[in-house]
Amino acid sequence: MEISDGKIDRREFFAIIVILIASKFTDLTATIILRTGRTAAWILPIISFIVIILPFLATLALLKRFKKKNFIEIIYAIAGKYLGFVIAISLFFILLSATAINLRNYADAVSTMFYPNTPVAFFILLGAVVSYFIANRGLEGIGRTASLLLPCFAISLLLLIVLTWQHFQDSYLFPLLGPGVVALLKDGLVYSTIFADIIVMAVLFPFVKDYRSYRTASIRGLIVSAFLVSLFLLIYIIVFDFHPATVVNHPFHQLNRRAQLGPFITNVEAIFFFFWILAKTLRFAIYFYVMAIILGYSLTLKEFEPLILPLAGLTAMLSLIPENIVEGTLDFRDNFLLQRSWLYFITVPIVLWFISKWREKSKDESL
Amino acid sequence: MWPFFPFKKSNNSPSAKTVVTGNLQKDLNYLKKAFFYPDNKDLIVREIYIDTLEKEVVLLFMAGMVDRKVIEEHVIKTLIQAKPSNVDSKLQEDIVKRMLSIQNTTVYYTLEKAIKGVLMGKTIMLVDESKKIFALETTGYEHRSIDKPERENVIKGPLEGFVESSLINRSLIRRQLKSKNLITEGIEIGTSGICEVSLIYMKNIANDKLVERVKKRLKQVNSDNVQGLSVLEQHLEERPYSLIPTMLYTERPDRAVAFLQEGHIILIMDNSPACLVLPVTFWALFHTAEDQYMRWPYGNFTRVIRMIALLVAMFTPAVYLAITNFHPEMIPSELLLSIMNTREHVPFPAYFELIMLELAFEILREAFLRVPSLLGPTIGIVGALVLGQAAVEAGIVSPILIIIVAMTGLSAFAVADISFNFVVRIIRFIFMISALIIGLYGIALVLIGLLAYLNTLKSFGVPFMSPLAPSGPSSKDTLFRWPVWKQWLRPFYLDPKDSVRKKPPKRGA
Amino acid sequence: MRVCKFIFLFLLLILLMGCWDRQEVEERALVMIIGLDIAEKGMLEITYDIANAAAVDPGGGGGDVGLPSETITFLAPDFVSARDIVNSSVSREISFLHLRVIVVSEELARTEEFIHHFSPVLRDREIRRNVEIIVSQEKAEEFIRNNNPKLEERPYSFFEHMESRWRETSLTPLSILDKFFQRMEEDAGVFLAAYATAEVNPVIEKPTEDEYIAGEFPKLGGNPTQVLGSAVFKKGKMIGVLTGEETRLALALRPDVETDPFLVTYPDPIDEDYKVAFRVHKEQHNRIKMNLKKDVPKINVTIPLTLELLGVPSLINYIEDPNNMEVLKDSITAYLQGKAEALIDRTQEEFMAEPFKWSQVARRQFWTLKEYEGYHWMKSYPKAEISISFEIEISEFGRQLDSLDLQKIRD
Repeated sequence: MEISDGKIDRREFFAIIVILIASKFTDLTATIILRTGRTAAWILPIISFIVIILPFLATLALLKRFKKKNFIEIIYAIAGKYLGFVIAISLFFILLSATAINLRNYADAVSTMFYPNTPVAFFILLGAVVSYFIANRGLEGIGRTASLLLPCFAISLLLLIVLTWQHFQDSYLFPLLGPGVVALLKDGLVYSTIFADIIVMAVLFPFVKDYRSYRTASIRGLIVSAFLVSLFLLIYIIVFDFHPATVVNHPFHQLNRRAQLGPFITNVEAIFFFFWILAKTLRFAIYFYVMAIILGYSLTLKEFEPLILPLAGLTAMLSLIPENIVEGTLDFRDNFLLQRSWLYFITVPIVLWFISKWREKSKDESL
Repeated sequence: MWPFFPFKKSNNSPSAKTVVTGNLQKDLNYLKKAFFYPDNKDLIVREIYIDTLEKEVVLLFMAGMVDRKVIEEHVIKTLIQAKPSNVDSKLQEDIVKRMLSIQNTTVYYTLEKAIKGVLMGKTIMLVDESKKIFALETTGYEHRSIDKPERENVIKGPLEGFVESSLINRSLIRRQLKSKNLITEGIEIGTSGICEVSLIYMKNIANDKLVERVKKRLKQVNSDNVQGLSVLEQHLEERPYSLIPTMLYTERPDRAVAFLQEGHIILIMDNSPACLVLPVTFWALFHTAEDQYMRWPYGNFTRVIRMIALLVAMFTPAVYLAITNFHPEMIPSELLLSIMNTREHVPFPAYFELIMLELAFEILREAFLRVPSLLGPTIGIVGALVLGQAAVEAGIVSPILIIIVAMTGLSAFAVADISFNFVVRIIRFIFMISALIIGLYGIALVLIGLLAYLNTLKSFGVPFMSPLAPSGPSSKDTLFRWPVWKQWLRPFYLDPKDSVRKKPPKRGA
Repeated sequence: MRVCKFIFLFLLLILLMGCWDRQEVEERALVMIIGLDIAEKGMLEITYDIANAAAVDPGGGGGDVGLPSETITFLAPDFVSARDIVNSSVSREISFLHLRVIVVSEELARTEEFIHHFSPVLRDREIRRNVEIIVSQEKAEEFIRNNNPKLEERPYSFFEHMESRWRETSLTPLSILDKFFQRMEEDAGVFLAAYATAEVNPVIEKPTEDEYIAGEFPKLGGNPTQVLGSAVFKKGKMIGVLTGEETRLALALRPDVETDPFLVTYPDPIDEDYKVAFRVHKEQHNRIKMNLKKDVPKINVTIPLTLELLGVPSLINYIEDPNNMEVLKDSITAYLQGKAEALIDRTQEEFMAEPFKWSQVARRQFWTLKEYEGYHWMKSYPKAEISISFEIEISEFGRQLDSLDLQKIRD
């Protein structure tokens, strides 16, 4: 009788991935990419997507081979107890700092754009509390809410495109190659971490119905997300032109402000704001849950669900540390996190795959 | 009196049952004592002597619970006027088989059961030198005749509603669903053993585990008398403090039948002019019977209107507060200026006005429920129009707020189910408070928290938002309704044994 | 129950924290029009036109409720801090959420300091991006006070409706804050802002109806405000004025279709006492070819126009007589070409930058930003050799094919 057995199916997983990754075009990730890519910023996600395919496929192969184990367990199985611990815990710390910065960005955006007199801490606190509540409902809760809301988000984005259509100036896309092909390739490689979440999602593997659903959902999710990020970066460029786009703090919200239907219905940004909050809160819920899993499995604890609450609190406290977004995001996240951790995300899955393949081969040969 | 009260001993323990001795006087005295006869005027004791068998027989029944005519004509008459025949007078069964013309009899071996039988309206026949007691089915009591349902009215459909008699209710269902697979199980609940709930389901559709689960819950009810289905619902539900109901209470037999065919379970009791449907999903609470009876465009049209009404009822006051207080750039300038103009003269802040008006509306609603029908319309006019108008002119509230509160209140009526109506009204206040604190941000947070909560809510193992949330093959009748001939699957979430209603449609696409 | 208590305390906490951004609707003072003038010692003279909510009562209140808006002028060191100072005399919280128009006086616009004073407008979160910019000939304060719309109840709605008229007639460009800053940051062309005045200095001796600038159009009655022609801004400073006709041409020369069909008269080629009236439709994009490889950039622009012949006061039969039609077409083409070349010369010599958005076409010629920025479009433009050709089609003729045959009637 129990339809629900704690596992999520393909549609829900797909929704989770899209919300997680695609919502990156709504925050300062977009600003960072616009700063480097300028008129060609929309090409960068495509390059990053291509770069991440290989580690992603390696991860898929590993999951298929190990059946039923999640990413952390696989790391431990291949790399052994001590090295495995190092790898797993560093993943946790990367994720923790990323989430804390993200939370801060999000609270900043809300505070700056809509509630200037309210302290940022208020939004950090409320956002963390509600995200914790959702994460506490389990993966099913997150998955179902995500799949329920995904069509609403799609419609609101479509509406946004339709309402800002009149501001599109396609000549802003030129010069096409922006900073030049070499610079684009280099940045595309470095910023491939924007899609690194897809590899982190491998920790959810045992909770997804089966390998095929996982594979289909993650491939489709990755493609759709890459498309959306690229599309919206393109839209930012053709609406704002590359130079203002780099200076504008929150391009998504500025885009919302330009949505217009005729001369009298202007300022409908609050509608898009509403859907954006829903998506962001879900995103943090997913992050909290995944962090709890990673930490739990890294320390080989029996249960990880009780970890969600302290992790939510910890993230909230960490979000309060940076003084402003320049220090927080543009310095820390851009320089340190995004630009250095690409090494981790690209090499770890591939190396692990190679090692496991080599072991298999040597096992076969020794028989 | 307590130590002598025989019931205390025989509480659900089979060894404590008092077995029929066979001695007529002894058994009769036991029963008389149990009912405090002759103090209890309602217990009737009729002694009969059957000539042909040369036996004494005593009939016991409860006045008011039995159909007098049946007893007089089919029991007493047939016993007294029994013709002699080649009957072995030792065989007591022959009395029933050959003499009585009553339609249904049961045999009891314990006196407890006999007592229960009398209470249920059966006539107990004690036969001398027999260890068997016969319970004759003579139940008949006054009840309301079948009438239109009070709350769930439709324009294009049957106009019958359940009544307070469990027997008649079951007959209403049987008439609509003539199937040999339609099963009624009688389950005793409660500690006194006189409360019986009829559990109805389709044997070839409903999931066995679900049935077991419901039966288990029923048996766990620990109260001596459950007065009706409304009280039973509260005993059975798994989350008593939750805002969301997990069972559906409906007055319409046709809805009950529709649910039966999907694999739900129906509970029926005496004294309740309704039935309980479980398990239940959000859609069961939201749809009305009428949606199915209308043609496809009309059914979908009413459904869309109801959805809009639901959203209006939940969100309008909160959105008004959020926009005027936190996001005034969203309204056109002229509208904003005219709101400012009307609010100039009002002394209270917007949220205070709104809460005041909402409470006033709720009070009026409650009052209308109790007002005698003669005064009803008058009070309606006085309350709504005059008070509202006078309040605006006195400068206590602004006119736009009256519009909002009235619209919200009326939209709430578009939600058909009683429990769900309350859910909408209460949630509206929650949204209002969140809008008051932090505008649209608060509304968004509360909404997503609510959605996450709803998604993980389970009603007897079925997720509340299926088939939308864990998505699966559905009967194409959730947000919008497909034509009737396209609804060929039963909803998956009940895990029915027979998941296909009919063959997939061939015409069209 | 413990959970309930915790939730209750949490809620109480949140409620007690207070609502920082909550503002009752009637506590706001909606500033609908802002005026900026230059004052001594680098200060700004700022005018706020605050809408008076009580003045217009939709329910038919009646009685003396005052002016539709309250106009306040004061001195302030900069745009941002002005808000708080004003609250010494305005009882509600100043809010720019519904700001519609910013009026800048020509005097201020022509100074170097203008853009320094004006840039805080970009950062203000309350000011919407589609606020109109109007440059006034006289002081902004006088312009705002003299504006007296007869058909609208409030002054700002006058400008709101005017924006639609700008789109329709193209005598004034669509001047919006968004585009102002975009054009400035692009640093490739000039920005055209609406040019207006509330002082009337009628000039009667203009040959065609659209060669006026604001204030020259002779009219009596109605609102004294006139918005006609454009103010030219280069790098955030005003450098000149274009007439209505020049504005129309500038908009027509742009790569995309930015003009709605507008009404115009051209000189009648056959009978010089009269003019011929047309409705000009620009339905197709211009074809702009650029050759930027050499030192002297070469630009060829072909402008297809569709004309609808609406009025022939000279009663000459242009329609049915193909010769006349040819003559008409040639004459118009030559006329337009002359005017366009005059305008382009003016932009190359006087402004040294173009208002035609041709930089957007130029951008397509480059592959990387380095190349484009190295090229410096604005510096190369004045050297360019530009050739314009108009392609005229006279496609519609109104309701009648032939005009009245006066000779026949008068006989």
